[in-house]
Amino acid sequence: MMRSIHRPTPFGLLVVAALGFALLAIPFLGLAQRTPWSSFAQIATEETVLRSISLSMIIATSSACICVILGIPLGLVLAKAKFKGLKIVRAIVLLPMVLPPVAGGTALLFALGRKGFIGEKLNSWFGITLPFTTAGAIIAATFVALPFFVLSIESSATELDSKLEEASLNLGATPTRTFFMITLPMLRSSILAGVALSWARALGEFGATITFAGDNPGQTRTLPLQLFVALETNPERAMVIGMLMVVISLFVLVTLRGNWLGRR
Amino acid sequence: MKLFATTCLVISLLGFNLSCSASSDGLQVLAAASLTEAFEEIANEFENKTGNKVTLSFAGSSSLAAQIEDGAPADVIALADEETFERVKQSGRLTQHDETIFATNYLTIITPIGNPASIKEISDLEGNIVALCQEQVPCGRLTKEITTSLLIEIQPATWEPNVRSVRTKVELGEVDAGVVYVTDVTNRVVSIPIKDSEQIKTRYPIAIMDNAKPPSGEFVDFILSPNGQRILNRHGFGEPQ
Repeated sequence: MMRSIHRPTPFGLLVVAALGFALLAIPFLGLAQRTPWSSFAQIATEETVLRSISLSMIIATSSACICVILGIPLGLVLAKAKFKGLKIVRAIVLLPMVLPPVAGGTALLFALGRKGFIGEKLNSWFGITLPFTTAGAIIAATFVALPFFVLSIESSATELDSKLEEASLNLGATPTRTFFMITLPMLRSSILAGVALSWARALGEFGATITFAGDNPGQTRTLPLQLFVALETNPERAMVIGMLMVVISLFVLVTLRGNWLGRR
Repeated sequence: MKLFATTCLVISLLGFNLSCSASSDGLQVLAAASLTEAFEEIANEFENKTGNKVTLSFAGSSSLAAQIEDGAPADVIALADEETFERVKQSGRLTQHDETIFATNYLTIITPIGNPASIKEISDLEGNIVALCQEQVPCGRLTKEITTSLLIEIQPATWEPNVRSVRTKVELGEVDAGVVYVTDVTNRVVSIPIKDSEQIKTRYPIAIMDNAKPPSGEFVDFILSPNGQRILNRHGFGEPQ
């Protein structure tokens, strides 16, 4: 590996960089400084908070699982397939990354809500209604998290050396066997990175969830929704939940960096 | 590069200018979500009459109380109940003026057009898919008062942050029913009265914040004047009592 030679950074750049860092870091300082640390453990273990934590874990983890199942094929197709309209497909897949989640939630409501064009059929044929249920919250979280997973798979799949796959096929392995024995293991690190990213994104989902899945304690009231309610009723609880989310997210990022994206 | 730098500078100055003007000219009025249309009309008429600009900001009363506690700029505040108003008084930003009750309101059931779940009275809400206001907002507190007095318990499918989002969920047909103020009823929903709910009214306080801009007093006076009261009345609000 080539080592980069040390080049002095212009002083002005350092100052501007420090400003940028301050903009990102200061809000957390504010939160940490207001957090009631002495009663932190007590508030964090209140039943309402615990219920939101476990609900958030269930929703984020289910969402990450769905991302793995749907996202690996989707990422591979985007990376390898060549067809007309691929650009449009990619744009639609990545849209939730830049779309305000509340807009995504509104769209979900009109598609999968009780009166939505698919939701209506789900309701009349199978008696399934998604809004205000945990299943609905999982769909909302997956809607915003899936693009992160797909992007992670796609970017590493485009750089994959296809010689091994070709060799496997030439030696008589079926395409399915090749996928499981060769392609998947090669994608291992980007799958893990994608899982962490999409899990963290799903954990923090707020806008699409409250719009599509509403605020239903025990069903859809995840940590961010609990924070929103607490902000108006019990600010101390809001600070503790905010801090909890900072710690969890930071933990995910650090593990991600250390283990899967390569140490620097 | 030059073009980029110039564009950035111009746009940022515009943004800066906007944030300055927001707090310098025009009355900043925070009002409960249920007052939306009535206050828009009142502000319009007030602007035409006096030439003073009014900036309205609507949200659930408890959101507004939290904003006041966090130092949001405000000249006049109007909330949907007196309990929430206590929080504004505790904030220390309301020491010079007293509040005045300027309107009253009470609750009703609404359902989507056609009333798909055949709701007839409030006890029918038990076991159906229902949207209610969160209990810290006035409409939620009032709903709770009614259900407690009738010894019924409604498990809503969703707790909404303000009365208007309850109405939206009903209008979209996502829930079978919701409980809102009589003033929130539109022709996109069916209204089913709650027996004796007129007896359980909420009273709307309005007050001038400390260090408010001078036209604030005029604005509050206008709301209490026959003109202002007529507009509120047309939107279904009851007289202050």
